[in-house]
Amino acid sequence: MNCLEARRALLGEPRRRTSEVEAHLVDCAACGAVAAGMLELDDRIAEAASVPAPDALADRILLARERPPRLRYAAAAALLVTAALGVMLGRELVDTDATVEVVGPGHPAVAAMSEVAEDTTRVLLSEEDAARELEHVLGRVGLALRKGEATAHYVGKCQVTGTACDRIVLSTPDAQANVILVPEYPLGPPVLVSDGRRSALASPARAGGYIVVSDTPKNARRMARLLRKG
Amino acid sequence: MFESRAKRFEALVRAYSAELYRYGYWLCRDRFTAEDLVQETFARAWNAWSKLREEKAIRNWLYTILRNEHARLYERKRLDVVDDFDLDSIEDRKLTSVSPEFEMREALHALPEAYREPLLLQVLGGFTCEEIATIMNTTPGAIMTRLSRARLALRRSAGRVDKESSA
Repeated sequence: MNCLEARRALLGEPRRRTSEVEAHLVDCAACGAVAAGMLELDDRIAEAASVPAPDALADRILLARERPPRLRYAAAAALLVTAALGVMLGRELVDTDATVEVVGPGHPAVAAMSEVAEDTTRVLLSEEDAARELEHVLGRVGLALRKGEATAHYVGKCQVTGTACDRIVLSTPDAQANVILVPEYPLGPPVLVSDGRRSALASPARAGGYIVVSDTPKNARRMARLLRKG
Repeated sequence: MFESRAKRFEALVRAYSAELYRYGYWLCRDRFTAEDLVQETFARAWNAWSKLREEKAIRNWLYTILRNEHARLYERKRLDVVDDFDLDSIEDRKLTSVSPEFEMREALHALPEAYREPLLLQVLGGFTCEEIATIMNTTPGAIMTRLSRARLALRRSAGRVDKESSA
């Protein structure tokens, strides 16, 4: 084996050296340096490529298998995505393909629509406690309610994408929305999705994010504007 | 019997979900979609459990399912590799004084998918050329070529970052 052949082999599989490559490296210091450099390069590639997996990913997968109806709804919702995303609020792109590339059946916006449709939220609080809790849960994600523009009611705890969330209901004289507060799941740029029956606008907040679920895309955006940075 | 199957499945999920997520992330480069891909991979694996003959082939099987699921999700046509692709163009990006790890990640993003995918299957997944060729439905020789070209491009890119950092 000559140097060219050895280096080709090292570039392809630096960690699996044939006996011929090993024999060449014994006699060739230059190729030995190339071999060491390749191992170092692979370490750097591995370090850069090792993106962290989400917390409790395995738990969510196992939970999803035990709850098939929810998954089916989520998958159907993703397939029926009709309205678009806007990196800037107010901009709407009617481009289903572009939207499908951004969201999938596990996206929190789709999961939030499932949650509202299935209404599995646990209601544990009295009216008085719920009023106190409302301010607390909004503040935890860095939000507050614009005063005098809507009534809000804390509903209770729920699960979206395997994460513990809080659910509140916002009402104005002509519209209503469920707001899912996701304190421990950082959301990306705003995404608006719709399955024809409900629309969900997912937005980042100071800590985590929030998803406004309403009957139309227009109402989801309108109701989202009732929240401000807290 | 069902309980045994469920336990084995759970062990599988706990053993491989994180590495499949990483592979999925680099295929689609979107963390929500990557999680969906892993979810769907295990859902399909569960449904096709009875077809699994060789326990030792299970990891390759999961990677193949995820790859197929990614292709199905995007209804993507199989990519043809353009062998004269100008990998040197990766070096033309403006380098800034950020960490070498960040620059390496950017260089990986800039690699064409046909080169990045086999490289990550080998570096992260530890697969051999033959195994990668099976997963990607091509020949070991083609994989070897792509791996060599990918490493050469990244080595040039990394070398420039090191020079800038030490300057």
